[in-house]
Amino acid sequence: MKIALVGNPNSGKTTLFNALTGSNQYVGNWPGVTVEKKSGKYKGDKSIEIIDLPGIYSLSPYSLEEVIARNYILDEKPDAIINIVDGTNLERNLYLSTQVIDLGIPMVMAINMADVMEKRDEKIDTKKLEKELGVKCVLISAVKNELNNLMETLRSLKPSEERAYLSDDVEEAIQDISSLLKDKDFKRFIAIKVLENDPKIIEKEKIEPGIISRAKELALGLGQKYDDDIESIITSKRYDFISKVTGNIYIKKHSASESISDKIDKIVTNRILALPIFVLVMTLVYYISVTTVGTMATDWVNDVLFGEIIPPAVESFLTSVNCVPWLSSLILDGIVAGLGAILGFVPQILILFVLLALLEECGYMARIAFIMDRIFRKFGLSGKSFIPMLIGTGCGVPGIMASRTIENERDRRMTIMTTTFIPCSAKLPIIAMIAGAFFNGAWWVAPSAYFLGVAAIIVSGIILKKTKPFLGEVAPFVMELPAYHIPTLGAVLRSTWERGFSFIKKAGTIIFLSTILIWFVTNFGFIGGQFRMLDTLEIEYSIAATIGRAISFIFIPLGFGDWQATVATLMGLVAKENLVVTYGIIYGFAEASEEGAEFWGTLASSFTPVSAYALLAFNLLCAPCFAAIGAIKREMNNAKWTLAAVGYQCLFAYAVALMINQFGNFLVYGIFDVLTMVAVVILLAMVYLLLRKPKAHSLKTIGGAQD
Amino acid sequence: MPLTFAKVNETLSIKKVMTTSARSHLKDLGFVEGENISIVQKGNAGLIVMVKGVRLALSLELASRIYVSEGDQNEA
Repeated sequence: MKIALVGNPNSGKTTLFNALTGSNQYVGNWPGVTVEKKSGKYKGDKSIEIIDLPGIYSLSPYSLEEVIARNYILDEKPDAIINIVDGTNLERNLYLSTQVIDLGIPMVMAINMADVMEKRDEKIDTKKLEKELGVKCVLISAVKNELNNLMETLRSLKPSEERAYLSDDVEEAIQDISSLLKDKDFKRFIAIKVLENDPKIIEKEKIEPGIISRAKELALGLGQKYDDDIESIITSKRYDFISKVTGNIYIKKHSASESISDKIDKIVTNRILALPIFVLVMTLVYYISVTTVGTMATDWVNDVLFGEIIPPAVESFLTSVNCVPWLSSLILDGIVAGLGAILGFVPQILILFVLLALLEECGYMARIAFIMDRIFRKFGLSGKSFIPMLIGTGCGVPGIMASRTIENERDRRMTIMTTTFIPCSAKLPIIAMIAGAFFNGAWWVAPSAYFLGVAAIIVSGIILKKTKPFLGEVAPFVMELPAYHIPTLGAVLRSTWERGFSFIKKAGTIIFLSTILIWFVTNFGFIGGQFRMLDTLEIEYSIAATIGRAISFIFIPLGFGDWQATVATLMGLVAKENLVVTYGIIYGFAEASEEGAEFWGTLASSFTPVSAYALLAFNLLCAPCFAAIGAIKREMNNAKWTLAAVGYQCLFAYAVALMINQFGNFLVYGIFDVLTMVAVVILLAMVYLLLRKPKAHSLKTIGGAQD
Repeated sequence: MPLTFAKVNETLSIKKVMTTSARSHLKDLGFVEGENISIVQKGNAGLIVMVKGVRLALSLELASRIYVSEGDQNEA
């Protein structure tokens, strides 16, 4: 038996879902989109599958969530629907309920917040409500796990009978269309949508042109009668019906006064205080997750657990059983290092997710979007994009994963694509190396790297916003601000666990496999015509070096077309700080310091300051490490988008590094050649992409969200 | 008058929602003619309003498309 859970955002839907399924949950994504999909088995009967549909206000095609929810119902035809409504605010919640009733699927209405209503001495006459709506109603309290006989009621459900509750003239029009639909399922629902000229339903249900023109005719007639468009007419008739119903069923109604939430909002979203408070909260998040607790935990896992404890233990075990060198190298440098790379991020990610869950649960996250939206809109991002980028200064992986709080698909994709432009902590050794070896440790190198990152985000935002997948009017901003409340420990832990575990599972695989691959190409090679495993300082014979020699010409325009730079860049994909380590190995300093000060002299002889800065810029902006690529893949939930993101980053990095090298050479050394011309062309192209006006025709976005 | 001109904490009644790409979405959210509405807060980013028992944040652009009049519709 399949049961779908439908309800407004903030109606307690997720709490009910958790109460029904306990730990029998599966969290994934809806196919091809970044919207989270949750399903699970009912605790009391494993044969019942419950699907938590996204929180929505209506079954219209306005948002991606609405389209997902209604497509699920139309395609999968669940056996029953639980419609959860907030009992303290029936009037608003019933709007969606009437649309679900139109579907005709057996449905039970779970009236939530029974405990709050009791406290307020508010009562609902459920018997009367059942009669008016023609569906079963059960009072529940999801928070207190008082689900009464919700599931028992479900088992004995009959399909809800078709009800004509709108005004007579509208009902006549619905009947007219409905009779033309012959033997379709969900006749009443589809007839209403056809009448409303809903393009997605018309296409999906392959409605014949004859029916469409009849619907247009009827809609026009009603439109003239009411002097409004058909959608608005049906909407207001729905509300008419709902106010008639709710007028009868409340035995006592609480009258709203200025609540605590209003008082908090008066301060938090205040004209003057909003930004300072926002900065304060963000500083706290940054301080806890990036600089203090998070770093301490991650450093411990990286340096102690996967530095001093596990590798020596494994090594001594391998030595004691006389393991062959290549296998022990594979286990130590490949598998253990790979596991370390994955698990090293876990503590930081978990701490971050706890903070995000707190922000979400208490209600402040919704206010962030409201406060910051205007600024971020200008370059195609959402107000919530700020958090991923801030976190990204610590580590791109949790940064990318923090994009989960952004509902809008396009905003989210854009955020995922641009977050790793911000230098993460693993890129700091590269910056320190370049600053020390070429610029005498000048103060401006590090700030310039952050400036470069921010500029890359803004420029990319503006350029990408004008490309097809991101094009379209910015959706006008309107969103519900949930009431502030104290987060429950259970909800915070659950959300942290879900997100953390899904990272370990999905992103872990790709990181693990790529670490082993990199281990292979850097540790094996041909020496004297013989293929064998190499010693640490024989890296120039490795497969990686061979590949480096073959493709290093690509980097000639950027000023670093030798195999060493190519291999170092490739190694940076495992973890960015490996770039420094690799240069150490190449120059014979296997045990160099973090910034590689020992070989700065050697390094300085193979670069000019200009080409060195180009190398820096390229490595800051190009594809992030495998862990971050894994996170991108996990969040995009789409191979094409992942490729597009990484491809764009590499291309952008290449263009920027080329311009830095060529214009730098021209300005500092007066060199002007063909490549300088190429740089000029790239610059002009970039300016064009920034300034061009996108074609103003309507476009279907991949997600299908309407603009 | 447009919602943006109205005072904070006063009971208002929605007169008309003007054409915008989000018109039907606004109606789904409860911005329908005759509905009571009050402004909770005016900020730099937009307004926070109370409609049908729920707090909604909306940008100034959208708020300027919603026309209201003073007074409680139900008392008239």
